[in-house]
This record gives sequence, structure tokens and C-alpha cells, in this order.
Amino acid sequence: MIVGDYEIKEGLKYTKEHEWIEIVGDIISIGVTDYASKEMGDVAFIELPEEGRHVGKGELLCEIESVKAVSEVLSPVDGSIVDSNGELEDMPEMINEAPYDSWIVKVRYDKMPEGLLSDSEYRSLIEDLQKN
Amino acid sequence: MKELPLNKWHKKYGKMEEYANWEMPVWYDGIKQEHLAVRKNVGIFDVSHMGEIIFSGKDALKFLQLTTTNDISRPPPISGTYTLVLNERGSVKDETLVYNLGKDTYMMVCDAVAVPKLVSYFLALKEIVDAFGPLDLAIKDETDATCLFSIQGPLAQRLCDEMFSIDLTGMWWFQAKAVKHEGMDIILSKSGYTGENGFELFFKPADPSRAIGLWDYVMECGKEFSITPCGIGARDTLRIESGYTLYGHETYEAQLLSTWVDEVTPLQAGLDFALHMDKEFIGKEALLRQGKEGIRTKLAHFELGEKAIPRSGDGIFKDGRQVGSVTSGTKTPILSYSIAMGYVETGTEGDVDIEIRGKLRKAKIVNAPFYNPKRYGAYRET
Repeated sequence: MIVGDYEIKEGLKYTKEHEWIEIVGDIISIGVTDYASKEMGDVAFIELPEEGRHVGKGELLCEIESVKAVSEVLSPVDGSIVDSNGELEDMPEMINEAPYDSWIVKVRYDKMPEGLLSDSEYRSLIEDLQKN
Repeated sequence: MKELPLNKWHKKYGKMEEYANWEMPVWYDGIKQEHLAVRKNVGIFDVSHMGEIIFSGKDALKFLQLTTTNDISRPPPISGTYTLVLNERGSVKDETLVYNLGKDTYMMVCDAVAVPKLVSYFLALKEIVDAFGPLDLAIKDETDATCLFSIQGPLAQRLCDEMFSIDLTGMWWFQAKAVKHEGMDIILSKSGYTGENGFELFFKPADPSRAIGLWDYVMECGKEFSITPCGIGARDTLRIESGYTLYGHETYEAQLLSTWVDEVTPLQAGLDFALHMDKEFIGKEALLRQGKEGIRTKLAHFELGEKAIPRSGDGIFKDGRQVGSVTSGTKTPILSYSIAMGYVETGTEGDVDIEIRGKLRKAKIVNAPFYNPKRYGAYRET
């Protein structure tokens, strides 16, 4: 669905920090939303995390560097990093071009994540942001 | 926060951010695309936040000669000179352009962040001299009343020729001409901050609609040249790629308590070309002293082997020892690696490491500009 200038993909989970999350079995894929990619502008570089590392909820997963600034991707769950999207190292601009096709890391969670936003809840968040 | 006359337009199409107390467009479709537009075709920037201070009166020339570093006595009509305002310890209060508008009137174009500081500095100096006998000098801040559109890129001249039905061939850098748009006076200067051939339009709109009218006119005439509106994001990446210094980054005032020469002076910033040592000016004494004692650090340009972007303050290392730090860094679309500027100990050459977020990355010292001057910039061959 399109909300103003931004796309929100139905069926995914979201965080207030503008990450999207797809849950398949005990593994979640994490990316950044269209809103986040437009806010940060042209992505120039992404520093992917090493696989196998254990991260706690709210801890730094990786950093995305746009021409203007550095944005942090935080882990929405406790778990272990099982994979990262190496294609983004060569083509970081994919995050701008197709944010929902550009998963960044996959994490095997310790227990089912809680407190994530549904697509309609995230939609309200984006609508509120656009009012301001 | 102050708004540009075109605020509504910028807000509609661009991403806005506060810069030097102005609400400015950072980008419209993206810094990358806007950067490329200026290197390949033509772009237009609304940089009306830039400062304009007017000096007028019989003593204006002498006052500016004593308070800035370059010789600004070039004859009118309307010629500009790049000149620096220094403090008494030799460091840069701002990098400016001074235009001789004729009739004992001079326009100083300065950075938006430096306007309040410079105005109070010049007024304070004038007050001291006035106490010994009044100067024939008026100093007026006309920043808010003056707009500045910057048209930059290899097609900028063709566009400006067409817009004002003139031939701008053969103008020298910072030369200016008086032109008009629907009765409104415009100072058209060959200048810019992108490394490309470009022209800047200074004008004082009677009301915002006159500024909007001129912007629309440029956009309309620019269609055939694929003109692209550009924000201050691309302005920054373009100036870094050209190796141009920016006040607040490569030049700044910073007092070292142990000495009476500041870090950093024009000698360290590679701005010697703007120093006219045959005249007196504030800061000259400190520069002479520094010239004799030798400079400790010097501005250098760095090319990285990868895309991680060095930011202001990142450490620069040579053989494991810190020898300096970064002042500006970016990644531009015509280069496949990141670039940076920064100060290093004099004599540092060749390969260095730059610490970006805790990790050392390989870099090497190169000459500016960072782009291939045969392919890009005002002196391109094609």
C-alpha cells in the first residue's frame, strides 16, 4: 500500500525505528522501510555484521551509510545472526531502489519477538509522521 | 528559522533541513542524481541563505583592503575577488568574495553561518576608527533581502546565454555583469562552488513572487538542457570532490593558548593564492611569523580504497601513529571509492590509514580535484 510518498508492504511486521521484519520459522529477515530509505537518502555503503554473533534486542546490527549521515539498524530481537546480504556490499543503492527486496540480515531468534507493529499499525505511524 | 522566498516550492519537492538558521533544501530526488546533473548537464541551486554585506562610502575600499587578505582594488564594472577575513592570529574568520559594484560600493558574499559574526566584527572595527574621526563608510547586512541562484555545469553558459540573450564567452572567474529579468536588476557572476563552469545570479526581489518568477524562468529555459534543481547536499559533495575548502570545516578559528598563531591559517589550508602580502591586513603579522617558523600541519586530500565514508574528526594514521584528522569526507557517484580532506603533519605522504568507526581503512594522499579534470570540471577536454 502507498501512504503519501511512501510504500508499506502488506503482511510484514515493522518496528518504530522503521525496520521491516519477515518471520519464517525461527528466522527473521530484517530490512529498512521505504520511509527510512527516503529519509536517509542515497545509501553509499553498508557495513554488514559477522555471522554467528549473538545480539540482544536493541543492540546494533549494522550501520548504513548515506552520503549525508550514518544510520543504525538495531536488532528487534535477542538472537544469533545467521546470514547477511552480501549483494548489498556491491550495490548498497538497492536499499533505496527496492527497500522491501533488500533484506540486510537474518537472525535466528531465541524466543518469538514481541511488540512488533502490524502493517496497519505501521501505516498509522507513517500517517502521523506525514501530518507533522 | 528563516525561510527562503521559494520555501514552499522547496518544501513541496525537496527534503528540508536547518542549516545556519535557514530552512534549506538538502535534496530533491537525491544527492547522487543532482551531483551527476551538475557534472554532466546543468543544475540550479537556491543558495539565497548566503550572506551579502554591503560596504559603501569613500573609505570602503581602504577598510576592506585592511580587513581582508587579497587585493580587491580591481576596477569596476562589477568584478569580484576571492578574499579571506582573518583574525589577528592568522586564522580564517570566513572565506568571501568581494565585488566592486562601482560608486564606492562593495558587496561581500560570505557564508551564512559567518554573517552575524562578521557584521559585528566589522561594525566594532568601524566604531574604534570612528572614535578618532568618522569614516565615510556604511556597513549594511543585506542577506535577508538578497537572493542567490547558482547555475552550474557544462551547459550553464549556453543556458545563461539564452536566458539573458547575451554571450558570456570569455568571462574570467568572478567577473560579473549587470543583466535584467522583467525589469529586475541582476548581478550575474561567473562563479560557483562545484568545479564546473557556472554562473551565479544575485538579485533583490521586491517580493517573493519575483524570485519565484525568475526560478520558473530558469527552469523553463533549462528544460532543453535537462536542468535539475539541486540541494545543499550535492553542493557539499561537489565542493569536496573539487577539493574546495569550506569555512567551519577546512578553515576555522581555533585558538591555541600556547602560541599567538592559530590553527589553521591560509598557509596550512593551501589558500596562499588569496594572500596579497604587498599590503597591510589584519592577520598578516601572524602569517609572516608562521611562514618563518614553518607550518606544523597541512591540508591534504585522500582517496580511500573503499566506500566507507570518513567523517569530520576521524583520525588519520601513518605507520600506526596518528598524524592528523579528517575535516570533510564523502562518496560521490563519479568515483567508486570515498574521498576526504583533512590536516596532517607536514611531510606526510603516500599511504595512510583513516579510522572510520573504530576500524582502520587504507587511504592514499592525492592531489585535488578528485575527479579527472580531462573529463569533468570547467577545464574538461570533451
